[in-house]
Amino acid sequence: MTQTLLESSARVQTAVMTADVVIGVPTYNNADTVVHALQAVEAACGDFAGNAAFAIVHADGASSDGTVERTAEISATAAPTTRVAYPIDAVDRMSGPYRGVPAKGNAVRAVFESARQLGAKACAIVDVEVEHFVPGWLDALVRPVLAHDRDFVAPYYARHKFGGAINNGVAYPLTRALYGKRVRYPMGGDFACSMRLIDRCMGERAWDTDVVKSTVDLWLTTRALSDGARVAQAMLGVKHQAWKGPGGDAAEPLAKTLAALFDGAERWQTVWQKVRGSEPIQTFGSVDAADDAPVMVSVRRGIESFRLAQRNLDEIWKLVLPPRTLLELKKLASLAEPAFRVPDDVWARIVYDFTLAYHQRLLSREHVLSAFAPLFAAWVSSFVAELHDATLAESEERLDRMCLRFESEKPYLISRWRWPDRFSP
Amino acid sequence: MWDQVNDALRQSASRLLTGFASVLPGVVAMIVAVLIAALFGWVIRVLLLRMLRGVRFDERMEHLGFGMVAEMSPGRSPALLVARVVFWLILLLGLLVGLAAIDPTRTATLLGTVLAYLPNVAVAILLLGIGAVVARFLGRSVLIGAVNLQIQSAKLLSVGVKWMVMVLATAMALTHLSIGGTVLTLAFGILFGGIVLALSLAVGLGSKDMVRKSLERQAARRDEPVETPFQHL
Repeated sequence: MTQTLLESSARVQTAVMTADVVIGVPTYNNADTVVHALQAVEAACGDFAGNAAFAIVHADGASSDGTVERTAEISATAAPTTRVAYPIDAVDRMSGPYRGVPAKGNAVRAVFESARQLGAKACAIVDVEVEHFVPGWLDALVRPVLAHDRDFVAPYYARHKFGGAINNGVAYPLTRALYGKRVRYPMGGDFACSMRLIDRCMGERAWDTDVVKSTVDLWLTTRALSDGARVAQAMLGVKHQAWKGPGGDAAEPLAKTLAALFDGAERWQTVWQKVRGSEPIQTFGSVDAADDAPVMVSVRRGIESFRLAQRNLDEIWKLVLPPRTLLELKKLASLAEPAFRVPDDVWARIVYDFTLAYHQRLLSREHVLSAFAPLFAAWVSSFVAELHDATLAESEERLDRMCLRFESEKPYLISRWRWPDRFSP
Repeated sequence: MWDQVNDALRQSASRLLTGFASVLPGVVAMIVAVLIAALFGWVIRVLLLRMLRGVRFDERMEHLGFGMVAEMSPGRSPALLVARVVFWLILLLGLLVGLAAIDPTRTATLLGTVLAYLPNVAVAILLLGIGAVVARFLGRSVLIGAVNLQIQSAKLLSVGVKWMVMVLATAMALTHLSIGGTVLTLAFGILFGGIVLALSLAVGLGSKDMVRKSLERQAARRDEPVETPFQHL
């Protein structure tokens, strides 16, 4: 069990007895951004157009860079701030730059525990690395829970058309096809939950698993979707994911995301096998923000990486992918850069085949997850090359077409999931 | 004189015939035992082969990464290999039963020696099995990791790691079987040491320019803006 340590600072000790809304800000070595984030949250609480008592819970994983000390600079006016410590072990501290906060699951759990103790009606988690929120973001995030009886509010960001590649290429289409709801950012770091959902989640054993510790946002989204919870999304503005480490190796964050998605598919297999198609969910807040920051994407590197894998990983891929897909990949590797395109049906089947390989343990799960990286690089290269001159609306429309393909290919996944020995494409 | 010769010949023939008559039932029993074992082995072989093919043993072995077993099997079928091994084991058992009918004392001694050696064989097979599994896992890990790091000679690295582990496992198994003795340990030490020395020399002397350039490139890259293949999440 996680030990939650409520350490109310002296200036807010008497104020933090109860709250309608608890806003959690998990941190770990975020001395550079914590003040900005807490001030933004504080200001948003003051601007909230409604009658609700807020409490900010700053959950820190024993930062060593002065993160906690920096928070003393903030003067609380609109919402009292409470600090809780969440456990984070040595392995989590060493984990790669998937998100700003390692073992975020522990932090979220500690915040949820605090929200229960404070008798809150809603609880929101805010990413400490957020650079800019649109006005009224807190209203959009929390009001659906307080006033519209929603259980889970996922974020909706204004991002560059090539930003959020893992989300666009895998997390969004797969979540949408599996659970039938169009949650555009199922793995966004900012979200809000009703206490009803929190109460249901807190009893789960899954909190102690690595998947939930590292990808709690995705786990909560799929948990809510599979549970029939009322889900909405809120426009929060522009978000850039800051890299914590050098280089742009996406293999580790990709593996963690895939593990969370595949683990969810296994856990809630009885739910998603009954779902066909998808339906939109209500979006709260203004959606007119735009991300103009340039995104550096190397199509050439992605294609080279795929070609190298195609030459070398045949013995691994042939355990996961059917011969037809392997043939498609062979053809793809021989295409010149301008003509390099991964067809939607091939991509959808590749994602499904890896979901199946993870489920059926056709080879070590670690190998399944890491052998996917070059294929993902191929998809990103294809997507970027195809939409280089497209507008944001055109790229969204293209993504929607791909998601529809995921939905139409879903019977393939169901057939192979149910009858793995009988089905041989 | 001729009477004595005649007696000697008669006694000799009588001894021979008596001896032969005393062994004959044992020989017949051995032939019968071998024939029964062969028949029983054949039936078991057919049934086992049918069962293994029914559960798609060959494909499963391939899926589990034991493709090497298929390479060594007759007709590239591990199921056939298992069926044949079981058949010959049953035949061997029949032969031992038959030999026991001729000379129980010697057969018991032989059987005792074979049985005393069997645990060593079992441990050696276990060592080889574990070695094969570890070699396959490490080989795949190195292959995928190297490809993700965009190392061109990923396959070579993977095969190298796989064979290093297999050679180590084989050496351990042979040592356990007391085959080769110190010669094997020496040969293994020389082989391993030789590989490490060759690599050290290759990097230290032959490829020093390449290593220097590579390190310089790495150092220069740290100062360059990072070209991310894509902005994720």
